Formats: sequence, structure tokens, C-alpha cells
Amino acid sequence: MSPTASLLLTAVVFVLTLGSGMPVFVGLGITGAIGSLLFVSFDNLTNLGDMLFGSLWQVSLLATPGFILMGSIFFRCNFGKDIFDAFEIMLGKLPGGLIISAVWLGAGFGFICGSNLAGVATVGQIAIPEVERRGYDRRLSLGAFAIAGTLAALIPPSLLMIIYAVLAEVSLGQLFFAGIIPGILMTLLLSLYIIGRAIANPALCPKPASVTTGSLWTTAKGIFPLVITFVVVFGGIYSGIWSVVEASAAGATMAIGLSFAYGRLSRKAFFESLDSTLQILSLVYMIMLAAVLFNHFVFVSGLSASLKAAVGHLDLPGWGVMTLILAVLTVMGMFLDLYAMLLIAIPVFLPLSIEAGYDAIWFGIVLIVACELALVTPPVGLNLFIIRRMAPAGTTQTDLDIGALPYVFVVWILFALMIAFPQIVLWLPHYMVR
Amino acid sequence: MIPDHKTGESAPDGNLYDRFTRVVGRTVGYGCLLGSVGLLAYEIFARYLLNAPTKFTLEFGLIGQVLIGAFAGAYVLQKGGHVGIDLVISRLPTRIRSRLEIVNLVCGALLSTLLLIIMFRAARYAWKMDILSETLELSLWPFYFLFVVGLSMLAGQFISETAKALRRLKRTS
Repeated sequence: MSPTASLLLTAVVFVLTLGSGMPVFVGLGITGAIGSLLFVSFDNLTNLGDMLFGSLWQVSLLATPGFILMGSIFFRCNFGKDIFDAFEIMLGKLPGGLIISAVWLGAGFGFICGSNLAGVATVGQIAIPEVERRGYDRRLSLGAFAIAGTLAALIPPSLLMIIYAVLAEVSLGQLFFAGIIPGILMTLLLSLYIIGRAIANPALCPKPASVTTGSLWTTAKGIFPLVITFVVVFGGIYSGIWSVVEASAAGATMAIGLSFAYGRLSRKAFFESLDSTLQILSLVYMIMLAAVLFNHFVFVSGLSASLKAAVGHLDLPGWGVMTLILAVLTVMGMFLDLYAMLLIAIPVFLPLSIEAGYDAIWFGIVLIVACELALVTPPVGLNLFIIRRMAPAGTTQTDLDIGALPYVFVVWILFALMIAFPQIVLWLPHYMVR
Repeated sequence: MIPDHKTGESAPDGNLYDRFTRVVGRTVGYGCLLGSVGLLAYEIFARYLLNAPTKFTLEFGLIGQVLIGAFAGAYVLQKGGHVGIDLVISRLPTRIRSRLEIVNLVCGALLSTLLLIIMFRAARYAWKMDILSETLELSLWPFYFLFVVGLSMLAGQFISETAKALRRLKRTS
């Protein structure tokens, strides 16, 4: 069979497996195995054992259990509500202040939790009843909550960053610091958009009869876990007191200590946190195993080299290549799960991006933003489904899809800024390691 | 009570094998998770408070990670934690959906078996060559073989889920 026919056949297998609802790791693993067998013998394929074992014997990946456990405990012990209250006191007076507070909750929660699922669940559970009670526009607010939940993926410590660092073999510490400015910038862009809409049409965000005010103590108490976690985790990494991996354990220990100190760590919450951490870890580890088979297929098929040659023929400038990649990633994100996207994009698009003159750390952040976008682009926008489940009766999927659409354009503004000014991503990690 | 693979609802028909994977998955998973995090935290404590940095924490943490990867898979599959993209499947009639679910589970069993064969070859090689870890120079072959055991459990769980799906299909038709 010719290489082109083999690639086409593999693409068909890929679409069929993932389209049939197969678990992502099974779909990618089967695609990788069948694709590889079209190019190499079964004996060759079964020599990958050391790579399978090595995919989990990775020091960077060891940051995952601690950071996920930290986020799970903060999530189960309801620290999100404190953070939301603190942001509402600070930002509630702005036009659309309640929605903006929820967006900042997403960003703030991102600093103590690396899981998108926990992020969107926290924002949705806390903010949806409030906006409904105060009569905010449903599409504007629900769309904002869906995207706010994704900020946990961009703001460190992020699970996606750990997976990217392991698969792309880049520094996890640098990647963490690289996500901070784009994360804050995205939060600001989202806030500006909401303010703009609220000023242009005040009916979307009715002013409350009395604006929430609170004492300095309430604000400080709410924001304290966030600040102390940020200082301990990132301050420790920056000052060289501990590595990223050790910081994850310090963060988890601190989450247990803080939850205990706040009197919120019940036996039930603790075991639920352990169980949800175990589920996420297994999901990630199985995907890492599938990645070995899929990457083997990309390698033996020469797919990456063929794409490089094809893009080379187009004779595009660096930014043109990146725009093309981002357009493809946006379309992929409409249909793929974010792990599948990450797994495919790293071996296929990272070499193209480096060839176009971009840094692997920079590409990592751009890819993670693209994965965030995948969470809010229909028809397969996971966050849209989660928010819909929490939304009041009568909310349709169309409400969510239309509500999220303007925020997709906001994310594209961030893409444009990152392509035009790569220092937005690269300045902080370079400054930190200087 | 075991959550149904698709619906997430508790199903009372958990068989003996399900109970086995649940006990093993939870015991190894919780233990290794707490052990890995605890060891890394202990390293900070030992380095700064006891002024006695350790050599073993990182490698023991890695062993914990490999064991979670090996043994939690079957348990998480049983809990329906391995998500798929259900854009197309969710719009199909129940009968077709049930059949597709069975095909997916069989594919999962085949993939697990392939991974099992690959890992078994590597484990045999690691045993013959006595491959050692970098820092503590521990023999790695026992962990390779434990990985094989974990993948066998995963393959078994896929078969168990297939049997359950077949029973559900029989009941509905």
C-alpha cells in the first residue's frame, strides 16, 4: 500500500474510532497501532515496551498527582465561593460586575487547581444561581462562565501544561511561568468585553439595588488560600527552594492543611478528592500510553516530514504558518476532546511551528489556548455541556453555543497578540530563569 | 454499588471481578497517590529541617506513578472515567448505540492485550538484562511485570464491561 493510501486509511480509522464514542485513549491507541502496522511489522511494534514504561517513568509527570490532589481538595472544600465573594467585593461595582467576578474566579481558581473540569464546575455552581437571581442576560453570562472555566488550563499549575512538557520535552517550570501573563491578559480581555457589552446595552446586566460590599476581613479571608498557595508554590519554584515536582507536593500538603484549618476537610471530602484525583491520573496516564503508539505512527509514517514539506511549498511567513495551524486547531477543537487534540498537535504541529521560527514553550501556550477554545466551540464543547447541565430549566444548547461565540473571537484576539508579540509568553519565563 | 459504564448510575450487578479490580485499584491507587505526595513533601522536610536530603524519594515516587498507571486503569474504567467523544453516538437509536458500545469495549480489550504483549516482552528483557534504575540502582523488572499484571486487569475489565453491555442489550431487545 502506498504511503498516501496508508495515511488516508489511518485517518478513516481515526475518525471512526473517535466518532463512535470510544474512550479517547482506546481510539488514539488503536489508530496508532493500525497506522504503525501499515508501515512496520508487528514485531517492530512490540518493541515499544521500554517506551511505554518510560512514558510513566518521567520526573515531570510526577508533578501531576500533587497538583491534581491540591485542586481536588480546594474544589471539594468549597474554597471557590470565598474567592468569588472576594472578587465580587473588588469588582462588583463595574458594569457586568457579577460576570466579571466569575471570570476572575475562574482565573483565581486556576492558580490553585489545574483541572478545567473543576474550574468550570466551580464557576458554574457558584455564579449561575447569582446571575439568574439578579436577572443578568443568560447568553452573555453562561458563555462567560464556560470560557472562565477554561482559564484553569492556561493558568499554572495546569494539567495540560504538565502533559505538554512531558511530551514535547520542555521545561515545566518555564511553561508554568509562560502561562501567567497570557492567562491574566485573557482574563482582562474577557472582562473588557463584558464591560463593553454591559455599557452598550445596560439591560444585559441590570444594576443591583445594593452593590455587595464587604469588610477587608471578608476579602482577605477569601483571597488568602489563593495568595498563600501562589506564593508557596511559585515563590518556592522561583527562589529555587524546591523543584516543580516538589512544589506540587507542597501545594497538596498545604491544601490539606488549609482545608483542615478552615474546618472543611471532612472524611468524605478527603476520600472524594482522592478518588477524583485517581480518576484524572488514570485518564492522563492511559493517554500517555496511547501517545506512545500514536507518536510511533507519526514517526514511521513520516507524516510530520510530509506536512513540513507541504507547508514549505506554500512559502508562507512564520505568522502565516501559525495562523494556518491555529485555524486547523480551531476546526479540530470543534470535534475533538482536548487530550486527543494535544496528543495529535504535539507530534504533528510542533515541528512545523519550530520550523517557522517559534519557540517550543511559546507553541505550548498557544496550543493550550487552542485546547481551551476547543472546550467552548460547538458541537463538541465540553464546557458548554457542563454549564448547560447546571443552567436553569429552559436553557437550550443554542443559548450556550451563541453565548460562547463572542468569547471565541476574544480568544482569537489573544492569539493575534501572542503571534504579534511572542514576548507576552516568553518574557516571564526568560526573566525568571535569568 | 458500581456506577454504570455509560449512565454513571449505580448498578447492583457488580460481579466478583469488578469487586476485585475495585479493591486493588483503590488500595494501590490511594496508597501510591498518598505515598508519592507524602514522599516528595518529606524530601522538602528532610532537606531543610533535618538537613539530610534523601536519594530515594524521587524514584519511589516514580514507582508509585507507574503502579497507579498500571492498576488504576481497570478501576477507573469500571467507574466510567475514561471519557469518549459522544457527539455522533449520542444521537443514534439506543439499539445501535448499545452495539457500538460493545464494539468499543472489544476494541479496548484488544488494545489492552496489545499493550500487554508489548509490556511482557519488555519485562522479559528487563529481567534477562537486569535493567536498573538510575539513582538507587533498583532492579526494574518487578515493576515491569507489575505493569503487565495491571494491563491484564485492564483487559479483563474491558471483557467484564463487554459482558455487562451484552446482558443489557439482551434485556432491552
